Amino acid sequence: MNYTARHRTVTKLVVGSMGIASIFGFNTMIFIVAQNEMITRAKTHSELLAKQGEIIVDNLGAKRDIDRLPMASCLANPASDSCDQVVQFLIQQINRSGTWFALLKESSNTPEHAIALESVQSLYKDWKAFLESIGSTSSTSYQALLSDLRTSVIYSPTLVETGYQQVLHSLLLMQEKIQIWVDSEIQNSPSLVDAKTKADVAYLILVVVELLLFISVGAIDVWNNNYSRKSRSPIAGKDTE
Amino acid sequence: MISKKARPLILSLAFGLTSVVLGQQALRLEKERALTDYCESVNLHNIILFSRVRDSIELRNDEFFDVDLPIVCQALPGIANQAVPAVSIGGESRLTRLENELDSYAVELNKLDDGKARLQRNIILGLLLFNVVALLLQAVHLYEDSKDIDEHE
Repeated sequence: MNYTARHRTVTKLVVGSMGIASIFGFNTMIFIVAQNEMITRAKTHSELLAKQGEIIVDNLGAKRDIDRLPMASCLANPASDSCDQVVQFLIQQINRSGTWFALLKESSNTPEHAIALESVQSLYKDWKAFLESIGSTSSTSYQALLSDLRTSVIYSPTLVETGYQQVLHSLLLMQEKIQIWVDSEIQNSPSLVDAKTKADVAYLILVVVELLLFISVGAIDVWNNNYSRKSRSPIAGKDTE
Repeated sequence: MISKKARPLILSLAFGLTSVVLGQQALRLEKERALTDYCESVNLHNIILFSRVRDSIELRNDEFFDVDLPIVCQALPGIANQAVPAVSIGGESRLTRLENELDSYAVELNKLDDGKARLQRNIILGLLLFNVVALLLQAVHLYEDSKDIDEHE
C-alpha cells in the first residue's frame, strides 16, 4: 500500500474510532445518570423504611404507655404522682406529633398525606380543647399544666376525663394515619429494581463500547506501525510492506 | 508478520486492554457496593427497630414484624430470604430467631462489603501497575520506532 493510501485508510479508521468514542462518552453519561438514580432511590427507600420504623415504635410505645398510665389514680387523688406521669406523657406525645407535623409539611401531597395531616390538626384541636377544659393557657409548660390539671380534677373530673380520652383517641388515630401514609409512600416510591436493571444495562453497553473502542484504536495503531521505514521504496510515497 | 518495533506496542496494548477491563471491574464493584450500602442501612434500621420494639413483639403475638431485606438485597450472594415462621419450632422463640436472622444479615453484608472493598483496592492497585507497564512498553516501542527512523535516514 502506498503512503498516501495508508494515510487515507488510517484517517478513515480514526474517524470511525472517534465515532465510537463519542458513543462511549454519551453512554458514560447515561451510566452515571442511571447509577445516581439507583443510589437516590435506594436512599429514599431506606429513609422511608426508617420513618416506618419510627411510627411503629411511636405507636407501640404510646399504646403501652396508655395502658400503664394511672389516669384513674390521678382522678382519685390529684395530689399524687399519677397526674405528674399523665402530664409528662401528654407533653411528650404532643412534642412528638410536632415532629411528624413538620415532616408532613415538607412532603408531597397525596390523599394519604392529606388524611395524615388532617389527623395531626385534629389532635391539635383536641389538645387545645383539653387545655381549655382544664383552664390552661400554656400548652408546653410542664409545671403550669400539672397545676391546672390538678385543680381541674378537683372541680370537674368528668370534663378532664372526657377531654383526656379524646386526646388519646386522636393521638392513636393520628399514628394510624401516619402509618398508612408512610406505607403508601413506600408502595408508590419508584422501583429500585427497575433503576438497578437500567444501571446494569448501561454498564453492559459501556463495557462493550469501551472494549470496542480500545480494540479498534489498538488495531489501527498496530497496523499503522507494523512496517519498517528502512524497507520503504526509494520511490517517494511507496513502501514495500 | 509482526515487525520488531510493533511487538512492544502489541504488548503495551494488551496491558492497556487489561487495565480497561480492570477499570470496568472496579466500576462494577462500586455499583455493587452502593447496593450493599443500601442493604446494610436497611438492616441497621431493622436492628434499631427490633431492639426498640422487642417487648411489644411478644405482646403482639409476633405477627406484625418481619426483618426480611428488600428483594434487590436478596439477590446478593450469601443473602437469601430467611423468612422466620410465626410459629415457634423446637422451643426456640420467634424473637430469638428474628434476632439471629438480623445478626446473620449483618454479618453476611459486612463480609460481602469487606470482600468487595478488598477486591476493589487490589484491582485499583493492579490497574496502576498495568498502566505503568503499558506506558513502559509504549516507551520501548517509541525507542524502536525512532531507531527505525534513524536507520532510514
